[in-house]
Amino acid sequence: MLRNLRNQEFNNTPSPMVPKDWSGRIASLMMLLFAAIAFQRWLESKEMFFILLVFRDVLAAVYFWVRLPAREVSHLTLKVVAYGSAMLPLCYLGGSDSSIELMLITRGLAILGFLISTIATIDLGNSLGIAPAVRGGVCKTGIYKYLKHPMYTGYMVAEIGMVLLNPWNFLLFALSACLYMMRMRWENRFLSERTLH
Amino acid sequence: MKSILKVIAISIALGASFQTVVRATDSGGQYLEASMTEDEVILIDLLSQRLQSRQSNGAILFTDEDESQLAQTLTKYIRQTREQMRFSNELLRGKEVMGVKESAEPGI
Repeated sequence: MLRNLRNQEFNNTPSPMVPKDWSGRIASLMMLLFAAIAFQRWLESKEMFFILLVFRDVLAAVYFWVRLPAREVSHLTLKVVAYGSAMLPLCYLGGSDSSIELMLITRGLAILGFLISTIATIDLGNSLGIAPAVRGGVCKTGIYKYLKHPMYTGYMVAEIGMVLLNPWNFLLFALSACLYMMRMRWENRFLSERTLH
Repeated sequence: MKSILKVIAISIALGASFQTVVRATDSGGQYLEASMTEDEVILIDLLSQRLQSRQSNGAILFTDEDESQLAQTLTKYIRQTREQMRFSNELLRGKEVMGVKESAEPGI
């Protein structure tokens, strides 16, 4: 109800709205490319992490294609960092899950992380964006009732599994975690300045 | 629509969990069948044909314990071979990246 009211408020405000969200189409194609790379990585390594990533990326691509036009978008630097951060999980190295315990833990984390981030993607729906932008109100339904940044939480949970699988992945994970933290802070600041929290 | 998508996502997660648990619990080597390469299938077939012919000649009789031990040995062998192959492939890939033109024989 509150969200609908917020959407109406935004829609009634006269603003230089772009008629079609071409950036959404570009983001959609990028996500499909990421999905293709993830699929290729899965074929090479047979790691469950990558095949789950394919499903999530395809779902995100669909939402990007139909997403709402943004009233206000973030700075180009933020966008570049966001795309770089979204691409990093594709670079994780595979490993041999010869121990059953290790396989259970890594796959369990991949599944849990996938579930959290996929449900967050569905909850955001056509307001989804890689970089922060104002598209209606702030999402506070579904999993967003319990977690402020479920998407990043999901990614990080799944990525911890990849670190356990191959310790060299820790370097990538450290970089990835730093970028997620930066994105969280930027998003919080961006949205709190522009929307009704 | 959102609910349907969530159900699909949860189903995928459950399917993945089930596959993981099956793989983890079935340590006798049966789970390997689903993911065996062509060479591994041929190897198993040859071995089982040879064993069957010997058994029918009355040369060797296998007990359940023997079969279980054989399955474990095969599982271990396949796992080791796979690790060796993966290591060799990574070695070859590493050489290509570094621009070294000499070829390396996989598995040696």
